[in-house]
Amino acid sequence: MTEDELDQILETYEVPEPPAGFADRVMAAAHPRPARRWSATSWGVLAAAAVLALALALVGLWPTRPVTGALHARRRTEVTLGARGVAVAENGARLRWTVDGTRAEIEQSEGDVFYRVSPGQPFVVRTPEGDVRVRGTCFRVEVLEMNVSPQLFAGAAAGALVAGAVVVSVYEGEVAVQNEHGEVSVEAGERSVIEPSRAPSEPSDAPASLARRPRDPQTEAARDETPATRGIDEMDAPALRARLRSVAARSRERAHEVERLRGLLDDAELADPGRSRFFPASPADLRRWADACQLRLDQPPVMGIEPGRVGEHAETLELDPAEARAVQDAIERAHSSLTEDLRALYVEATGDVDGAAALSPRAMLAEIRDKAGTAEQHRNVMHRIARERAGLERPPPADAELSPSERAVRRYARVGDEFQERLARALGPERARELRARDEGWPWARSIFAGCDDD
Amino acid sequence: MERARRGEPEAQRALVERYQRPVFALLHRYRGPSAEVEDLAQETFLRVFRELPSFRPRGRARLSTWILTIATRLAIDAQRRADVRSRHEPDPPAAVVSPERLVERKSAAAAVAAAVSDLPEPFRAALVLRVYHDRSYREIADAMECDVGTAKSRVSRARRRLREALGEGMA
Repeated sequence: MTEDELDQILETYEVPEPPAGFADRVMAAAHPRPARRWSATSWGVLAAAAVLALALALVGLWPTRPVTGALHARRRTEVTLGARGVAVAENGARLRWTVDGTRAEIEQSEGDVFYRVSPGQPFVVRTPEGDVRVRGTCFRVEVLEMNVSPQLFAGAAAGALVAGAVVVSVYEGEVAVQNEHGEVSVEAGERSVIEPSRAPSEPSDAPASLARRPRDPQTEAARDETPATRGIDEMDAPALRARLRSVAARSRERAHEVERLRGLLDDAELADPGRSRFFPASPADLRRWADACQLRLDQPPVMGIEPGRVGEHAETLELDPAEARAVQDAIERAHSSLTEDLRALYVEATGDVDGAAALSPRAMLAEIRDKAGTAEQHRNVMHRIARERAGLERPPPADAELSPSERAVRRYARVGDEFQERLARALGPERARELRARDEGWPWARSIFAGCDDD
Repeated sequence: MERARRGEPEAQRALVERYQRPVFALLHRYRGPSAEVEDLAQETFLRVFRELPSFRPRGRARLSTWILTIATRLAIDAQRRADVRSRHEPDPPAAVVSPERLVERKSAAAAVAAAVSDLPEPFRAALVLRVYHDRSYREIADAMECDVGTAKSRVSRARRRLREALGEGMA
């Protein structure tokens, strides 16, 4: 089974909607009211309601549970939307739907989707810029992307999306395109563009290639269409702008794929028993890891808001009670030292004194990296440290003016060695080295940072 | 959010209505269909109300990620309690979804649900956050209190286990 096939299968796992009245129950639990006595009238109302519910159930009028689903298409995918609708979602399209009887509501947040809908109850496609209300037709909705921040490309937190445009092209029948600024009716062979903060454009003749009705969805799904070139010479400025944004969205997909492959590579490295060692590292190991752009770090549990515990690893390391106490003491001192150093760097990088007092080392390191550097700079520093360890590059001189972000990463990378030094002072250098080597590295936390810019 | 932070019931209700869907989806996929899902969802929002005053909206975590992190940790804690309870019970069935089991369930979706629920912790939580909630590896690492590399490895291993389980079942 390929990765794509797995993604397709995973997307079939739909979950039911939250039960009715859930918010009421949460609010009742959050703001409990004094209990009151049930009166005879209350019991009467309850009994009447129960009888009514039973009667409705017996005659089949009790509302059926809506069917919901979601899709993030990794390739062209056909979806059946209840009894009346079929959607063909192109790679990158995102959909969520709720079909209740013959009513359907689709939320299309991204991408290009062709719909075929039989006449019937309301069928609505909601997009970021407006709604498309359908009266039995064939049409295409393209949510044409959104500028994406560099941080998002780098896989960092989302939240910097800027609305794009939505193009609605009708092949058969008629649809209503509406948002808070206005509504237009779009007929077969026409197209309307919804741009942010504007009413939908008056319908215009769609370019011939766009207006042509696709073949049956199954045939359409099998066709190797190239969206980037479809009708491109016939597009006007809004459509071209939208197409450009759509291509940017696909780039984001590729960035996700790169991130996933890096994870798989990490895993493959970890799974290889001959290459899972973190400590001790021979010169050949260090050279091989540097060549592969890998920095391997084994650390004590010091990245949380509180220092971690020796825990079950007292057994892993075969510590006697006195040694376990010494190791716990070293963990606490290492945590305290790291927290203090990162707080100073965090304040230098962000000026946020309050945050420095409240955040864990892990959170401070991430914020320093995000606010005072980029993911690329972070990777470069990691790679330089790997090369320095392998003797392929000189470490920066002690008086070098390094950025707070680089100093933070370097501080983080020293944690494992520093912990060994602390234990050496308590237990002796030989015992400290022996403990670290027992499980081929400190057992609490192990990370492989991998990836060169040209990966 | 400011009004919810101040404890105004209307704003709190709006917050529940806005985020109940992803919270239920996460818990349902993590715990499987059970009455406990609603209990955990309710506990999630009660904890959100309690801790909202300390949430930093300008910090790294988005509100949605923060809420899902709370739900994830509650789900993991519940799983651990269940694991402790089941130590004295017979061994659970093998993780692989057999062809017979697939036939019984009659659908790929049910097989996926079974395979996901058979994933051991912490792979399951990492996979659910990544695949069904589009969280970045850094957000998963924060939610699960591990390093980014560990989060990547957990997702990768979860996917490999699912490929094995589903691949065998669907061969």
